[in-house]
Amino acid sequence: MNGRDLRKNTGLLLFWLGISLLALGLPWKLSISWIRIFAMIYLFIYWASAWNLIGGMAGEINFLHPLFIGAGAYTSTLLYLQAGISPWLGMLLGGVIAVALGLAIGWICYRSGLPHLSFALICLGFAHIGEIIALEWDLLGGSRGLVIRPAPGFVHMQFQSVTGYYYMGLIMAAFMVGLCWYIGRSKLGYYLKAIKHNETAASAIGIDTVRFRLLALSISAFFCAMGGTFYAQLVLYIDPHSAVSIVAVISMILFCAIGGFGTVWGPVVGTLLLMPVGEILRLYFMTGIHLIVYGVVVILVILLTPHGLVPWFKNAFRKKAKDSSYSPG
Amino acid sequence: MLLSVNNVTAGYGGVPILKKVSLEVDEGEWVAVIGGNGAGKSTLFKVVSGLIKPKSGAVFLEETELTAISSHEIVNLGVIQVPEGRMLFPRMNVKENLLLGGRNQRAREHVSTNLERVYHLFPILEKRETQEAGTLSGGEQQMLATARGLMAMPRILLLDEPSLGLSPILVTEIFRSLTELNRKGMTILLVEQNVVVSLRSSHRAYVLENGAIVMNGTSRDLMKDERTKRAYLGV
Amino acid sequence: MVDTVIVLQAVMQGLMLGAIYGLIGLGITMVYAITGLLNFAHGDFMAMAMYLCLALYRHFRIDPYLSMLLAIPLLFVMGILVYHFLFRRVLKAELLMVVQLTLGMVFIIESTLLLSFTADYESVPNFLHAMKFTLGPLSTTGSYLATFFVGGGVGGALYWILQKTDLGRQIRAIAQNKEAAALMGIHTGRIQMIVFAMGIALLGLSGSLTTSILTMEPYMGLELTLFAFIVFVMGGVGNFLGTLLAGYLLGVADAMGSLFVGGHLGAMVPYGLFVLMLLLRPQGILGAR
Repeated sequence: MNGRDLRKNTGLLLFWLGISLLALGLPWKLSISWIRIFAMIYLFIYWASAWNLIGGMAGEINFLHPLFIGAGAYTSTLLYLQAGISPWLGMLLGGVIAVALGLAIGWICYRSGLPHLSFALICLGFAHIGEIIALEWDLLGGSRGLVIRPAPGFVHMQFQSVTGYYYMGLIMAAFMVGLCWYIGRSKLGYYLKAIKHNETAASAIGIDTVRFRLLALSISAFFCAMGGTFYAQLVLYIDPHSAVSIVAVISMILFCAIGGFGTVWGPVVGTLLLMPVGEILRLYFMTGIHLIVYGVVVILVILLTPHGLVPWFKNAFRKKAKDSSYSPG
Repeated sequence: MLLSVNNVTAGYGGVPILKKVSLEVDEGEWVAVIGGNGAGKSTLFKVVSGLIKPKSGAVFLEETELTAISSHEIVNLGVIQVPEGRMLFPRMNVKENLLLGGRNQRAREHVSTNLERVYHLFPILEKRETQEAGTLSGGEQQMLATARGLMAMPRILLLDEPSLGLSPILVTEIFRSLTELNRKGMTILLVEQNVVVSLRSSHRAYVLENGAIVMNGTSRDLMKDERTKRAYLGV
Repeated sequence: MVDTVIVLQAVMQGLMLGAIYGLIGLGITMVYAITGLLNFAHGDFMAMAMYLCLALYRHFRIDPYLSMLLAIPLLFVMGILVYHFLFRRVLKAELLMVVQLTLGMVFIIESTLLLSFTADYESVPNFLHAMKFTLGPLSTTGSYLATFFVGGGVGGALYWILQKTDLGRQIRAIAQNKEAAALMGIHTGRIQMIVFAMGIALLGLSGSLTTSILTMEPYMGLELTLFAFIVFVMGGVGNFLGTLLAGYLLGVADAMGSLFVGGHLGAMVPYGLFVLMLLLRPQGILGAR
């Protein structure tokens, strides 16, 4: 390992150390509302990364996630309200239900070899149906939604102060990003990229596209559902509009687009860039302005960097490295 | 010099298919570009017709730089391509295909005259006037594609692999019509894998190998050349 | 058993509305066939047209049918601008990015509508709305008749343009073989822009016609888009006549859903039909073209 590599590695190490200290220490410097906002941001990083697995990496226009998130949120909340079951358990159960949903829908769709658009439409349709079911089914509280009474306690997955949610969100986000990084380098990631690039060619060389897509979808569904539980516990109120939200999944896709589909850091960059501003706008001004800002930013980013910011940075970095690299002779 | 290709380097993505290719076609000449599969012949035509821009180099039609203008303007100047694989409009009938061929600015006024002319040259097309192009036989499709090109009143006709998929009899027939047209003054740039037929009907030829011109001269000389004979004529 | 007259009434209503669904789907069809674009903001343009009628009615008492004369050219120009500045540059980008671009527009348009108007449900009457027409035991309002005839008429006019005019021939050429079309000297970029703008202008027409029939709310765009895409796919992805037919079919399915199931679930009937169709006959009603 020569001098340059050593310097580069120590540099990276210090960078990560710095970031981690910053993230860990932030709650000391922020107001309550800001800690809360960051908890939401971490949740969205978590969700966006989970979506990125099946959307960005596998190249699907997948809108099923409102169903997964809703499954997680409603399962854990109902179990808690009706049977007093700890949301930690409910969270896992919600994940299982979400996976079941994903497998069912995915199996039908993937096996039919549907073109991207038809698949996207079916997903949108199912997301709609999910929202309608939540609205009409009294057990789920209908349009009134479900309210969780504050009862702080770890067993209830409720924290005394918002800081608890902050750290939980941080852990979840870090975990998800790490998982995506791992999957990206694994065989599954390799197959997904092949499928994204050219599905017919991939299956022609013997890759079981249905199996791998279902696997990625299941992972995505499971973790998204868990995020739904976290959301329910953070806000202490869920209704069809917020838990089975198409706007939310579009936002997630948007963050991934800005950062770069299929990249590990894309969802992080995209979310961190937009959500803080968006949340301020949403909370202190009128609802809706933040969406306009999201829309404008994503359009600008797409026009200027057709593959997203992370690939663009990598490219710029590579060019700089080439320019300044030592070449013999 | 009617058409000149000057040091054109072109390709897709980072890979250059054509490497510093230069050739020229004079008014009334029939020039052939021969070479095997993947040599870059279709890419050459794509550059001339303005479908892709070269990385370096330029193409000129007399004084006008074709590589600086868009493909529809190139067509309006009379540079007409009969593309590889015919590329007919499959769900339109013969007449509609021909009408589309003749809609550019130069040919627009003379559609009925030109239609008569191509029907005279290829009578079978008139018989099949209302038949969908996709249902024609291979030979008929090539005739239609060529006729469609002629409807555009070309100053120079670019033919991309007209013999592809045709029986020897049909190839002879097509080339007979083309020779007739050339004799009457039509400038032709032909790109072909069928070396014998190309060298027999053209005045001059270039040999394109792996994206570069490796030989050129009169067709007669090339036919006698040992290298061509070995490489392409299987002698 | 449900009264046959009521069923027939619903079928008739469905067919009439279906004429408009066909037009909306046609906008998607033409744009996709010529540019390969999937515009998820399609329905939002129609929402904009409808809200324009609302604004003009509220402030100036202008009948939506009159506003149509403004909405159509306005939306055409909007289509030109959107295509020229946005879509033209992303035609070669990856599909997910193009979809995201249009979703970005969805956010912008829907939020702007929400902020300019309110989240309330709205509807705008037109002068035909109050008129009742009877055909035997069936009756309908003028608005429905208007949508049927205008919708059908415009559909027919579009068909005529495509088949009998030079512009139509150019459009079909690009749809069948874009490269060959360029070799014919067709200015493919310009035609693509015109077709896109035409699709958006069609939404100006559809929106103005249905202000008294469809309920308006700021988020209606995405649902309309979804519906339009369903019509497009069921119609065979690029099949002109198939799309029109699918529009009628879905209109009737929608009417049947409201009649027999009702409420939110009833609105799901067309989607159910769509999923069924995809699984049983994926090539669409008349097959792909």
